[in-house]
Amino acid sequence: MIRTPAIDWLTLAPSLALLAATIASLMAAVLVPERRRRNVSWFFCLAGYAGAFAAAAILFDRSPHSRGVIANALFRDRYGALAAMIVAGVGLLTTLVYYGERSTVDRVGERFALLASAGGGMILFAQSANLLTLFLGLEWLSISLYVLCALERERPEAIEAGFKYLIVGGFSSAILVFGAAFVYGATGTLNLAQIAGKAPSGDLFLITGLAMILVGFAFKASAAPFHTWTPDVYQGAATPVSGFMAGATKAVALLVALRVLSVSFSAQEHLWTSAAAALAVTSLVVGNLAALAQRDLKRMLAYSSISHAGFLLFAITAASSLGTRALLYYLIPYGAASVGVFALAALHERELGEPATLDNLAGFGWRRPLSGIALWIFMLSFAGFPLTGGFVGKVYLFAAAYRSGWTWLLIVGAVATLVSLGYYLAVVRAIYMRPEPGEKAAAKEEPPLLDRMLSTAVFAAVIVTVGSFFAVQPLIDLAKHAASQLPL
Amino acid sequence: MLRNWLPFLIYGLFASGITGLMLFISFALSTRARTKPAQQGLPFESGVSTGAPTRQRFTIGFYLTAMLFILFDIEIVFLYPLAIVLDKLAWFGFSELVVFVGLLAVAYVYVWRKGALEWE
Amino acid sequence: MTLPLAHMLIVAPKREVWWIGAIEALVILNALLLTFAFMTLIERKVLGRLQLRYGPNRAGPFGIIQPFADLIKLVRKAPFQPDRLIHPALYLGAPVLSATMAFLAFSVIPWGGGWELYGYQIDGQVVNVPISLVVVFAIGSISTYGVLIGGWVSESKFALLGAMRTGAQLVSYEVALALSVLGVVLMARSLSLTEIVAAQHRTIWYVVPQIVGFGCFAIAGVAEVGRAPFDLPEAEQELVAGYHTEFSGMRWGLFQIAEYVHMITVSALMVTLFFGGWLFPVLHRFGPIWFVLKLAIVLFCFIWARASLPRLRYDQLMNLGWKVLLPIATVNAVATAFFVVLR
Repeated sequence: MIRTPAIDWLTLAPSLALLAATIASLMAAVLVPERRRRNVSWFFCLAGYAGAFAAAAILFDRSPHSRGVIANALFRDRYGALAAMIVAGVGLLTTLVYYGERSTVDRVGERFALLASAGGGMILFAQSANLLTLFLGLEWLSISLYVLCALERERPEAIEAGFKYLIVGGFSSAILVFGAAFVYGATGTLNLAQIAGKAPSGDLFLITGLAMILVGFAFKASAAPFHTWTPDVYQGAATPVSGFMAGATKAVALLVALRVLSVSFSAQEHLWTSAAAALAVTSLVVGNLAALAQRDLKRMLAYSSISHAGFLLFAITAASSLGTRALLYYLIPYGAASVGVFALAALHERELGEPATLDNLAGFGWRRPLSGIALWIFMLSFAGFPLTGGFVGKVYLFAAAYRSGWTWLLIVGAVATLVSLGYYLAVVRAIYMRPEPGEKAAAKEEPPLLDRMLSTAVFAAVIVTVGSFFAVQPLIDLAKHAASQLPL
Repeated sequence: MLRNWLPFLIYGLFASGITGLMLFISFALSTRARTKPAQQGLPFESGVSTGAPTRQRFTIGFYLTAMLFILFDIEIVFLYPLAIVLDKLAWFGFSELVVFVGLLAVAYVYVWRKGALEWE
Repeated sequence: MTLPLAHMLIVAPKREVWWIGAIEALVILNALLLTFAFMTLIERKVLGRLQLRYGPNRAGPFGIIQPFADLIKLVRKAPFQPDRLIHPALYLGAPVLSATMAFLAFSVIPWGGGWELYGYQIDGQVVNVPISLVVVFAIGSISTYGVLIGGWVSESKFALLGAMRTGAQLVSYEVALALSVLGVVLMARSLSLTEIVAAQHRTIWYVVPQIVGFGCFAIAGVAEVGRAPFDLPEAEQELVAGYHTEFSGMRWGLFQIAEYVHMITVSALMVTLFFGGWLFPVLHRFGPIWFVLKLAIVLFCFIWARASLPRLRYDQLMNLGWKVLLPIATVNAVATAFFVVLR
């Protein structure tokens, strides 16, 4: 008799919910009559993300102690559960935004299937407890996203985005799995918890593996100098998808990186903290300076997301419980603001029928007062102003870096924040203080339902962004519970 | 275990030897035309010869079929090892099998409805 | 040499020496070549009789030396190459690859129970490996490359089209073929053909419980070797001669050898998997003879099918493979798995 592993269904529940949603919406995409295809597929995707969020919340509640389940393939802990909640939340908002996105009839269902599938992969990725499930989750989410980027194949930019993402993403996955092979060679185990202590801390294979794994994660988190795909992909992909990638993919990549580094490579801490610091500085410099020069809103946001990768890397540099807490906390308003701002970009694009730029945003704030306010709230959150969650998050990240003795990093971060005001406030200035370009921008009336979905998402994103400033303590408690389960 | 493959190697050497020999004698023992007909080397075109087709493109269907083949062949690659130990895994193995085949069935239904299996 | 059956099935390792394998290999290869040669003759004779003709009857009594006449003709044919080959080495290598791999696939087929002769152990098959079923499929698939390369390298419209069609057809039916065998593997719990034969002796010929799998295997097998009614790769009305349009002489002959040896291998596989291989309820000691008899019957059915059935259209062919055989074979495999676990 072969011993079969005990299945912990609750740990699997979030990704299984999304897998079920994927299957249901994919089947709806071909079996339901064309007229209702979009609604049915969309509904399954939404239900999947809602189910995943609920399951992750229950999992969070019922996992006070971290342990490996299903033959040590997955971690059952609050860290993974909170990551799953962030992914599911971002996915939920994205699904709402995605509903009204223009699409050709023959692929209206597939995009929701792919969106649900990407979320399922991310959750598995975030929970993975050995290098094999980690790679499985990574491929699951990546392949879904490659296709999602290129889905609108009538637009050459979408093809370009999908292709670039495929090539670069495949390359980075290959580097990561190559690194995993090195680590396996050095330690003889794939289990994250067992890697630590299996080989001497200066083992050359182990360090090579560590470096390659780090590079793989940096690609996914779009940290400079591994960021080159980001602007083209964010610009070319459907706008809600870009928001999803900025909010969710980056979040899980960083969270899993922190988990792998702290659990498996605690003996090499001095190495990966320095590497993360270098990545953070490069990302801040590249992201901020390049963002200043952008006129296209989505491109600008792409560079802004690169610079945010830099800020978020402070948490890994700090390598402390405080840093982990800060990262988990900051990802909540950051994810919400990312989806929100891309949703507004999508709204603007749908009105104009052309890409949103700083020039054609002129007058947006007067024409759509509520959306305008939402947009500047998101921008202020990105920039780290008080009254938004971005402020608390940045303070936390800076405090964590300072506590771990990275004073010079703090200075770079402060300068970067100042520079970032240049382009975040440029958006606010554009929507209020630029003359409206006459009749051209006369808004085409949209069917009311589309508007409502998107408005709900934006409203929810605003609530989260602002709410996370006022409801700091409960969120910090969540983050603290989750962070305490990492060995830092 | 590796010893079992030794006859395979020997057999393979003989087999390639025989086929290689056949190719060789078809050159060694063949007749040669004294003069080579001018048009002999042209590709076959049943009459009106326009020369060889160069780098023409093919129906996407062929490539699609190749991709589907990979998909379903992987299925079989997974199922063979499972088939051997299925009685030891009992119902656990069977449920794994059903889940796996079920997922493939979803892909299959999708591919079918999308028309990837149609030929014109 | 009258061993009880149990001894023949569980052959105790006696003195195994490499040159016995070598002799066996030579015997089997020559047997295959002879079978091929006379298959061409028998096929023409049988087709002739089925169509109320005589078939070849000039060379020797009943045309019995016709294959040798053919061989001499092929060998003597003036070698020439098309002017615009993509690469001459590939042009010559493709048929060799095809034929070699066809021969190689047969090496794992068991045709007897094994004997002990003067203290030496003689196996009932050339190569006895625990994954012999996979070996047959793997090696058989490499043969497809020969066809594809041969068609592509000729730089000719018909050859290229024929090669593409062949490639698509072979991979399509490969799936159904491998899936249809899954039921047998599930029942025998082994990938070793020797084991599968032994398991059939313990229980029953698998054609009985696996009748659905057998049906799929028979259809997919015929398609896999590109025989009528699935001989679209060489549909002469549409493609002149398919992938070997630009081949002549022995290069063409090697492709023919590959096709016939494939047919023999698939027939032998069918006998092994579904009809108890070399075993027969009575007179086990004549293992190879039973094997050859069963093989002959299956091969006759191949010819019979060619004489009776019209060729399919290409879309019908693909539909049959993907929309009929694949689901049936999958359902058959899952159902078999259910009963295997249930027991």
